[in-house]
Amino acid sequence: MAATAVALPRIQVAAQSQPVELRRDVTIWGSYTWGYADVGADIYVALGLVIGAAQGGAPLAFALAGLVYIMIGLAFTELSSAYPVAGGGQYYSLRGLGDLWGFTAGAALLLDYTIDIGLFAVASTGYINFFLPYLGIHLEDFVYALGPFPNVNVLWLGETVTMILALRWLNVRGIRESSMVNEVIGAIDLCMEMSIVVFGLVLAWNPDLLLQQWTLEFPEPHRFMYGFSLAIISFVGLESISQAAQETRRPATIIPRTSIALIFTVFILAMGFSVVGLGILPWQEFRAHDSDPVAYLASHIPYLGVIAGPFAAFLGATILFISSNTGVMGASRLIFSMSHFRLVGTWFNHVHPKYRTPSNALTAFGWVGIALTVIAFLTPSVLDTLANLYAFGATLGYMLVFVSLIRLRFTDPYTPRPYKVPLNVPWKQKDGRVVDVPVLAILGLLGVSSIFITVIITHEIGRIAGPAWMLVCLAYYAWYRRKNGLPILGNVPRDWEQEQVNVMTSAEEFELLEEYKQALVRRDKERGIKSRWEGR
Amino acid sequence: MVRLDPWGILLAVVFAASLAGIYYWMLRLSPVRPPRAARKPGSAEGLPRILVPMTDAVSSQRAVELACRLGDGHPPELVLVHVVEVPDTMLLDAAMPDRDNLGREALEMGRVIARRYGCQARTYLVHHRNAAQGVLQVADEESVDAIVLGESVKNRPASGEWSKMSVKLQRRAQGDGWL
Repeated sequence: MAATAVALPRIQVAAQSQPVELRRDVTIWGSYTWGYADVGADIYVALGLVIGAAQGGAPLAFALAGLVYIMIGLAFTELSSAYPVAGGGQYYSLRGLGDLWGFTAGAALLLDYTIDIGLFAVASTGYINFFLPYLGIHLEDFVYALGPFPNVNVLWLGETVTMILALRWLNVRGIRESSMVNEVIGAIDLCMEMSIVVFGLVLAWNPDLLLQQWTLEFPEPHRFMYGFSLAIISFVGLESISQAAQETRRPATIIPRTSIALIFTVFILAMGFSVVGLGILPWQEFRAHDSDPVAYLASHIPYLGVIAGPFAAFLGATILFISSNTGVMGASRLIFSMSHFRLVGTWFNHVHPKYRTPSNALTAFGWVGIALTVIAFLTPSVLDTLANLYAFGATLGYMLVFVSLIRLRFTDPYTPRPYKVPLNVPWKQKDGRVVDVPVLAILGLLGVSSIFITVIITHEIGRIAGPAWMLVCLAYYAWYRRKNGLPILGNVPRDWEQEQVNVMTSAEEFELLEEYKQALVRRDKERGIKSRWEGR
Repeated sequence: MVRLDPWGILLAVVFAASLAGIYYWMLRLSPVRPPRAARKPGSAEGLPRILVPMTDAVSSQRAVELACRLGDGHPPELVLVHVVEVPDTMLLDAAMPDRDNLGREALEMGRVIARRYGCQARTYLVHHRNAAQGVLQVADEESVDAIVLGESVKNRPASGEWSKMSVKLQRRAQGDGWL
């Protein structure tokens, strides 16, 4: 057959759309301040509430809550270093317990992040309002009755909504801008908080006052439990580090360090503030000033007191601004992860082509945060409403994380764990494998479960609004899965091993990747099958 | 009113020192290892065959020991090579019994060491104009996965650089090498 040369028409091939990934940009200090920005702000809200409830027993309430928090933190440290992805608690529950529980954990943590946006934006603008009298403006002049809702402060509401919109814009622009904000302000706030505790101890502390309040003003058990359940709020936010894991350089190396450092620094700071506070002032005065307890405490330190008011107000406003910022990021990254795993619609999966951030998710949950904040302003106490919901979401999410940690020790022993929760009991399985059962995780699960039950019993709004949120989310989940032909109670088939290889490669954790592949090859050899990982 | 209490001062010192210690620990990171360095000898691919150039020096015996331990529980097969460098002024197949005997002793020593570690070892006594080329030729023929070369600091040139043999192997070897 004669061959004829034919000039082929030029075909314009459209550039195939490559899936766009999140970019790695967060350093070790950035990772730490990301977590600190979320957790460190809690004390500004919780100090007055906890001392007001737990009275002379406040240091013990902080200590017990802190111990549970340490166990939560260690669990997150193991999981986030082993699985350095954006999903955090939702991802761990997905891997350990399946799609439905992964969604449940995600919904609980999403509630928390969204409340975080509103709660800390409200508190931040509250501290900013400290300076209004200097401008001749009085906040109480802006309280109006809106229909059936009396006492709505429209100025404070407007400031809060503006702040949330600004934070959303910042996060759409990219993680670098947001991380830089955290790093600089986080460093300043750390210095300031440490200064308050140190100068308070050196210049004004009275151990006799602390001892007197401990012995004579220790509360009744139900009051102490209420204070204890509030104290956990002062530690919530560690999972922010795991949320940024996918964007952190060398996550398997950095995240264990920053997580453990954050756990212990926040614990030391919380204990420091409660011990200093009760050694300088009676607990009743904290209850009377629960809106700005840190500023009130600082104003009673000699030499510092004269500048403590505006100083602490500025400090509170900045760190609460950071914390609200972390909530915006956390919510968007979490929903991005859930969309990626087909727990929610793919609309949330969209990444901005220029800024490479999950712009749709950022937009959506910025608006959800605004909506929840507006609703909270319509209730008698905006801070109390938001704090109730915060405690509910946090404790529910943490319970699922503990269960996932334990289960993953059994179902996924091959993934390298750069950090492992200490105190393990070896348990030999029927197939000869030995699994390390984490005793601390079991204790932590019991501890956080007790807090969850306490929240349900003692927090009026939390026990209604929290479950209502979960029901609405689960209804959406059922609708989405059914619409897309996916199992509602079952799991979408996934190649977790390939997923883990991709994650480690993306994280540039090449040593761990080699270790992982070796473990899989050994497993396959023991099973007598040819390993797909040999030679790859 | 200022109130100085020794317990307060002590607590302040403990507080500050604790935080400083935590931050110091947190910020001390190990350096990044590039991907090639991170691929440990116990790779998922395995290192079934390792070549070790043998001389009468202790360093090459230590190289045999190291090669045996690289298998991480799976003893590799060793290829031990001694190259007798033949000067250009002699024929390549010229008899060099003294040098050959030294080479055989070195190879036998290497084989004994390998046996002690449970490794199989094949030996080659090669005449070549250039030692490095001779090693690489055997490495090619045997399709080795890695070359482990032992080199004593004392035997290096005065400049302290690696010997010519080492440099040539680094330049021309196709596979992985550990020096």
